[in-house]
Amino acid sequence: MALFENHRPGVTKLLILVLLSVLLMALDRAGSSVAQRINTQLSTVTDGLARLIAAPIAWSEQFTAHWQTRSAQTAKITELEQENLLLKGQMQQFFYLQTEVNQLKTLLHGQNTPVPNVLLATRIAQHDNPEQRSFNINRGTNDGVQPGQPVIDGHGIVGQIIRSSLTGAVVLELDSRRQALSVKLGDSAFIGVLNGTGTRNLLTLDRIPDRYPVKVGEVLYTSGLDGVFPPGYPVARVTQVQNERSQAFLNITATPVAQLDHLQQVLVLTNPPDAPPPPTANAPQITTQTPAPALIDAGQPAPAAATPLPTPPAPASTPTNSAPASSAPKHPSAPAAPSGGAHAR
Amino acid sequence: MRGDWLAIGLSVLLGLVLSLLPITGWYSHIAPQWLWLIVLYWVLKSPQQVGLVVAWSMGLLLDVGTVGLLGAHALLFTLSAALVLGIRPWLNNTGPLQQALFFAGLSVVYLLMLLWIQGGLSNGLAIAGYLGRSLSNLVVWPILLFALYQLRQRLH
Repeated sequence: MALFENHRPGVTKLLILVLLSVLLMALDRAGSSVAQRINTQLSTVTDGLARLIAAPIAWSEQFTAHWQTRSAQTAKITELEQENLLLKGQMQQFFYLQTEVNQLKTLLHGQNTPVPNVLLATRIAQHDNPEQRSFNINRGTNDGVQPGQPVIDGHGIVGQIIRSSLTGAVVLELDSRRQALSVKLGDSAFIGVLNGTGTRNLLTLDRIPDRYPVKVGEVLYTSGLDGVFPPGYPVARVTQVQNERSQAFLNITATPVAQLDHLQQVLVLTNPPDAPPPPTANAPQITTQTPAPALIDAGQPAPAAATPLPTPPAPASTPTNSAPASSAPKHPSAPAAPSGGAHAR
Repeated sequence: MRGDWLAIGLSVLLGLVLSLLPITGWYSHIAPQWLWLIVLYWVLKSPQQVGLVVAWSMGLLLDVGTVGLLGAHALLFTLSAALVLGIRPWLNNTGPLQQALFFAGLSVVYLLMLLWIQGGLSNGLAIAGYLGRSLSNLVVWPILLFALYQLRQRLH
């Protein structure tokens, strides 16, 4: 009778499979490319499944939206139109300032930061384990999503892509234990490393020399020094400052600015601005290629600002500090000397 | 035979979908390990089709799907399947309640081992150092076997 037949497992087979698993674990821990390749290829299956599972939820949302009353819909549309107009208005000024800052940076040290591409993605599944928190998004390598790219929401940095396949990608959240990024402390140009702890919404910034006046409530911005996160994005707000007298160091805890508990849609920065600039770096050209398609019309004013360029020969002979002051006296905030100094490397 | 494979494929796919559901709140703490239970069921009921290799590959797929350490679930799936294969005649003779108790107990070991693998071993060198002891066990066992055999022979 088949039910009572003995099917004792072969010890050799068991041993081979166990050794294979241990080998895979070791390779994965070491960050080997073999493990990554296996991961990417198999994840095409599982990410596809995750997308398949998420589809009915999206349909039900569309269904409820369809049955909303007409007045509620028009009210929502008006509200969004107003918000859109406000944002566009702010963006015009932003692009103007961006051109100006880029020109000044070109004068200072021949480098500027183009506006990154952003890609809208929807969160479709959450994975939590003691070591890391991560979630799936519905964009993959087909949309240009690659491991290492930063992910933001409407408020600040969310995390970064750790794996992408044909059917989706996985985002490692900021408060995972393995995540760390370089931040700038407020006005002082001090750079610290912000670590995730594995506890929800808790980040730590250890061993800051206590001569830096850090206040509770201060916002920490990315410094750009880690080469992954572009400079200037808000990351976290300081919640507690511990001053240990014996050690002359501050231990700082912070909470992410991004709303990690209520993420629905996120933005992937698909073209990190820290990529080396093209050899013919010319300020107006770079800003006109602002790649985000929705913002291109707002970026139009850029070519008009090409005129002040002939000035470089003169400041090149004078000390560089005087260059920003002479070329842009109208905007005292425009000479980005502190951030430019932190950016130089 | 073909019907068997169809049933196995469909139920394993269902288990994978249930394990990958985007779950939040209280359910995430009590969600059963669907894929593990389904694979162990097939190991118990039709060991010709579902054996160690299938269990291993399903574990690997779960590793990838849940973004865990590659190989952790695969290892534990293989070990559970090997245990179930080993005591299959006994498990088939007991009632459903005893089987459920056995799987619950096994899952306690499984979850503790998983926690240990994911959280405790945070770098590769630690794994190597830790497993060095098991390698020396491997070396010592034949020596021990021979020595104790000799001892028994002498005292007999």
